[in-house]
Amino acid sequence: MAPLFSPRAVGCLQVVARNLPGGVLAALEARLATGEDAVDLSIRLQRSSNLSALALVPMPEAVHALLVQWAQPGGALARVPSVWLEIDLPTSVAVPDLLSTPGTLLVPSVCARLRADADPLWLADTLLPALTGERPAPDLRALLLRCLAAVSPPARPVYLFSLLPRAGSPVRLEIFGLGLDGIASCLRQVAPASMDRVLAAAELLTGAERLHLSFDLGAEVLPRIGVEGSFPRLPNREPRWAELFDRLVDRGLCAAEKRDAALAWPGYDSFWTTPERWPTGVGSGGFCARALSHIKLVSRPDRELEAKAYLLLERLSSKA
Amino acid sequence: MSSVELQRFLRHLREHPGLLAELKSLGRDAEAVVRWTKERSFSLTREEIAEFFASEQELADDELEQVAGGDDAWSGGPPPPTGGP
Repeated sequence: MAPLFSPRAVGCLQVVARNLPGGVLAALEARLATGEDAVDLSIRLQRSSNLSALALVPMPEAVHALLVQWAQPGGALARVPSVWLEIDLPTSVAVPDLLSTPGTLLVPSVCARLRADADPLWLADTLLPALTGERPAPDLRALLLRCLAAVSPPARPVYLFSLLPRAGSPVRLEIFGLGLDGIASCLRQVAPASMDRVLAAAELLTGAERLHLSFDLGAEVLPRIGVEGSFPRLPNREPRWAELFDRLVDRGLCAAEKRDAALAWPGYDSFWTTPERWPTGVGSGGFCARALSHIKLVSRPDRELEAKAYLLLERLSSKA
Repeated sequence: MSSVELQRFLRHLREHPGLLAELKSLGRDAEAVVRWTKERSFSLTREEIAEFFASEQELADDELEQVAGGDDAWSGGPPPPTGGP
């Protein structure tokens, strides 16, 4: 895992992951700057996932209630195809085992995947309260609707988050399908003071496909804004991945050794490649597949631009 | 892979990963593999050995790229969300 993740970060990751359902798509968030060793973990839950394993994990009641509601076939959240739990791991302390240490609480950010035809009023009046566990303040509801109205097709919202671990528990909206012009247009309407700064960051993603824009909603659109980009093909078949990482290295946003490690991440392990690391009890078939998902640039007015890479992991069954 | 003996065999290979290369060097000569396993005190049937070798597969780049599709792994949709600090 080094140099992307320190042994300490990997230790934290293992403790938390042990308590979560297996067999799900997972994403690791790596900070690319020199000296940044934190790792965050996200897992995707589908209705077919082992949700009962999560019932044992000490999480806020609102999270459990959301999962119960979401899992009900035909319920109010039936239109949410998947839910992500995102866990920010501490950077300076050991993580206690959640199931065996009384008093520990896992507080994830909760993220709902949105269908392309998601109705703004359903988002504001049904999904948002379910995510946050409370009726939204009128100002927040109005702000969400205003932001949704600023998204012009073919762009569309793809994720709505409740950032429970963050101060003030803001809501995050993530938009997919905007080009640079679309990002400018959207921000001009909802966060004009941040527009130039975010566009300057987005320029680093020039050439990237699948651009995302994400921002947080509190009393207003908060100044921390993220832009993301990726390519559908793997780095060994898509030279623009390396070009993008090179730009980040040149700007001092990414350590060269982390660039090399991220580009080398895609691949797979199996019993046949690394038997000593293959889990027991799952036979000798299947794969642990690794893929590079995307790069995110986080812009804040009071800090240097921050670059992160998202690395995917998924256990795949044997092929038929 | 539900046979107790096969699971014991896999555990042995996990503990001695170098043996896997030795085993693979026998190719898929069932007789040779049966002898090899017997010499190491495993009693595997030819069917179990065939099942074991059938589990060796590779993932192509196209298949890895489907994983990279993230939340819409089979349709090339947007990658996973990012809610970190």
